[in-house]
Amino acid sequence: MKPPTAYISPLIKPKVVIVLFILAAAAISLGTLIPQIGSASPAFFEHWRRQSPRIYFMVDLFQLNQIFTSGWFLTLACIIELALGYSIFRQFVNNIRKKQGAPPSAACREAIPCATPPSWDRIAGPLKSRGYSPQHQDETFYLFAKHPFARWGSLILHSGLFLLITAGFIHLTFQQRGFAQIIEGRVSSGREEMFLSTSLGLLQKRFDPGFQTLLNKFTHSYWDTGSIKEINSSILLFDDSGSVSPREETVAVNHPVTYKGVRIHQSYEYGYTVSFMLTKPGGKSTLTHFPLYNPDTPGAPWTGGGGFAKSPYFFTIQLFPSLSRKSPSQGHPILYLRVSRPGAGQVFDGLLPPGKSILLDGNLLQFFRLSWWSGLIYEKGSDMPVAYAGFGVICLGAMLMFFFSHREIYVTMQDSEIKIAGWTKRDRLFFNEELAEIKKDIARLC
Amino acid sequence: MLTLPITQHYMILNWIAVGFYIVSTFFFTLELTFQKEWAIKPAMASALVGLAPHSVSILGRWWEASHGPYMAKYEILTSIAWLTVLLCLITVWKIKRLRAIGVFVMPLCFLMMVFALFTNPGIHRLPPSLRSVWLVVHIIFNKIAAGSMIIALGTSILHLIKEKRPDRPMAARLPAAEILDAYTYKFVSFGFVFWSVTIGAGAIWANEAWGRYWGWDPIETWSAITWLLFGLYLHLRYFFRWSGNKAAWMMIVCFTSSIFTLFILPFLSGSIHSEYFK
Repeated sequence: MKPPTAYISPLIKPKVVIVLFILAAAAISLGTLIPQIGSASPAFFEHWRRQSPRIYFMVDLFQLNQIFTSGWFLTLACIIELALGYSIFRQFVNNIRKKQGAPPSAACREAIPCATPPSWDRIAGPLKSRGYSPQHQDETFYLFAKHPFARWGSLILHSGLFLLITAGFIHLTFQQRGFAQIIEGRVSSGREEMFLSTSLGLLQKRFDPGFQTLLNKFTHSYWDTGSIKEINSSILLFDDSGSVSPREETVAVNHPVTYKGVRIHQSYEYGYTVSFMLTKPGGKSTLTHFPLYNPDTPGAPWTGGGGFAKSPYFFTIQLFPSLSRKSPSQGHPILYLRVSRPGAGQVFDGLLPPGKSILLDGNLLQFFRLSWWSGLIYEKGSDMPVAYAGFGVICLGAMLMFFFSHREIYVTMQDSEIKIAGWTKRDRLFFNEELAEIKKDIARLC
Repeated sequence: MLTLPITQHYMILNWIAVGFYIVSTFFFTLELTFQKEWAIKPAMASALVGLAPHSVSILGRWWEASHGPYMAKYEILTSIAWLTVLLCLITVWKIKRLRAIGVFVMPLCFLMMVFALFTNPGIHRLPPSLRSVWLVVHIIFNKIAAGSMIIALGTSILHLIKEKRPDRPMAARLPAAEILDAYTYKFVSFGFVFWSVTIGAGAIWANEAWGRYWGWDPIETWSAITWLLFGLYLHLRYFFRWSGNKAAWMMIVCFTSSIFTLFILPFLSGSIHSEYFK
């Protein structure tokens, strides 16, 4: 029976490595050329399916519209991971086994005739002045090396890549991520239901942060050019157990907060929240909040809507916060409201100022409050340290590999001639030039 | 007395720098094409003198905009040109046999600057996501990578010229094809290291800003493709001993990919990165 390495070793054959490089580059470039689920809207894919059913069928069949989570892409990533793992193992074994004292067969040899051979110390002079240090010595043989640590560069770089792909797999399996709209003055449930959308790893069923979040205040400011300058959410975090006192934090873009292993990020999503109070003739009141969405163009109204809780009404809302839209406090907000009810059609269509009320089929509807909502991203995963380590190790490996060239020079003295051989993996041309200079210097000593 | 807004001052300084770079190109061409050995000194001197107003204009802009040169075409192109001129001068000064790269690098630099000056020199304010120390690391390393890739492109083109018409007097002035090839490899490796750090720092910054270190955003993805292509180039050289014309053409493909990633893709795709080059 063949050992397992017999099946893996073809993966590090040069031709296979090149093919893997090309396949990886081609696959991920396809991911940017073909619209991907998640980056394009469902309506786009529906339109595409109707317009070109055959092409869409093929795209869908080969999962080209979700390449980065497709079976074939993950298989390719697994193969690359295996190849990297085996390559690291081979490089490690080769580096450890490398015998000190014997020049590799590839080393070039050239004899310098020397009637009166100089002492080893004198021979070492030209080499030491060029940064070579003696590694091994006996009566007839001397080994000098420059940057011997650099021989680990390739192994380190490949280990970094291995870690990075591992982090990708950990992310795919265990990630927990959710986007929540938190309204000023409101407390989130601390359960998965608080999220508007979630993204879970293959082995994750739910994402319950395990703590509640109260949005104290949402603040944002603009540059003089009208572009966004700052987005901040001042929050209070409550442990579900109640054993720990609440923690006050400010989350801003680029300044996430970590609490109970969950990182909270400020997103670019924010907007107004319009709150209505519906009071029935019996006196029972229901409060409902409608988060509105930030318009793309300045001056356009903030829009939103939906069904009113515990009622048959459907609201369509347009809010003009002020003439400049930037500050609701500088101008008077204008709310344009349309309310419809199944069977009765539109029951209200008009303006409603803050604090004012209207009658809807005998029910009193009050524009109760105008506040902000802030989009917060909650994220938990163990892949981040692995990915960071991967990036760090790649950079270290690349530096060792390309900034330092591991070079070895072997000098042997026999009878009346000195033989000099050299070996390096990279920069052979420059190494040969250096070796020629060293030979000249040593020849002068004879 | 005529007073100009500060924006006009650094525009004028940039034009002065462009003037010196054109003079430098002229002397580099004279040295290579007409074998005027003496022309190398004025070529380097005019490039060095040009760097002074160029540096002042970048610093002035930095002071006025309150952020480094990494927002909008104007800042990005002028700063890459500045770094490339500096790298070119260091290379020509330290490696005598590579002095011919000035003929390709200097015109590329002043053309980048002219293009920048005719685009949008107005100040773009930084969105909150772009205010991070990791972004600074990301950008600095990316500019160094771009600069070394431009020099590698120069050595590749010189290599192709040398191989195609070795009998021409201009080609005779160039270093041996193997030397140009070896230096291309050196600069690509140098650029590869910096490109790796660029991606790493960018990923850390993305994690701070958006809560994910990799999001398959088009520019992120093409940055990885460019990195893979450079990796492919290095592996082809190592495993299959690719050198000469094949390697030079491969380098040009890699360079095209990096240009596509940095300068063309922001116009084609709705990426979270696009804002920097609009």
